[in-house]
Amino acid sequence: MIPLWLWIRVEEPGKKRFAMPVPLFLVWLLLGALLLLLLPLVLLCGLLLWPWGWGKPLLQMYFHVFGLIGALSGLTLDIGRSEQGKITRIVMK
Amino acid sequence: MSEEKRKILEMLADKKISVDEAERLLAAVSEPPEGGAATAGARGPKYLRVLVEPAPGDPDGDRVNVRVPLNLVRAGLKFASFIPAQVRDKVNSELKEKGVPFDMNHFNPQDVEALLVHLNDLTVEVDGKEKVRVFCE
Repeated sequence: MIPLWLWIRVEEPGKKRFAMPVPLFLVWLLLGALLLLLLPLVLLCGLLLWPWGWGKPLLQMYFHVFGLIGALSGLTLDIGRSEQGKITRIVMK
Repeated sequence: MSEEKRKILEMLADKKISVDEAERLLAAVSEPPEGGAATAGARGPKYLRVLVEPAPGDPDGDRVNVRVPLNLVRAGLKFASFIPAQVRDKVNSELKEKGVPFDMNHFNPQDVEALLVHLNDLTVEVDGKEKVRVFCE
């Protein structure tokens, strides 16, 4: 399942927790449109570069981008300074 | 909510344990008793965790907690297998120049998969300062 939202949360002791959702689905829509536009070009380049061994990897990489995006769901990154106790959390879900 | 989970959340609310410790405890009580190591249940591990803890008393130390889906790791490794042979030779020669004895031609994503599955808990202490823990869950 592709992640639809990117959550940015900042937690600091003594302060109100801050959370901001970023609509990733809009990013994927734009990216999908861009990839669709590039598809004929990628296919053409793949055919032209096939004799030199670059065609197949190019096509594989292009279609693999979709799998890579789908695997992003659940990616979590916490960063904090130990003394300050402030933690910034980025979650893709 | 089970009694153990409630107790863990109460300890977190009382600041007796950190968020990371609470997360690990919750994961541990959620597993079935015969689940064995926290790294792999019946369905196998799903995430690769990297924890960086600064040295005690280090005011500038950063605490980092990264959770990477293993599917993302596998997808990233697949990209390496798409590299054409003529490029791999160039990469190998560059790596050798830098003193890294790694041969891209012998790179096998299945070997890395086996490593990930059997990765229990690895702790590396860097120069007596930070501690880096890598494990699968």
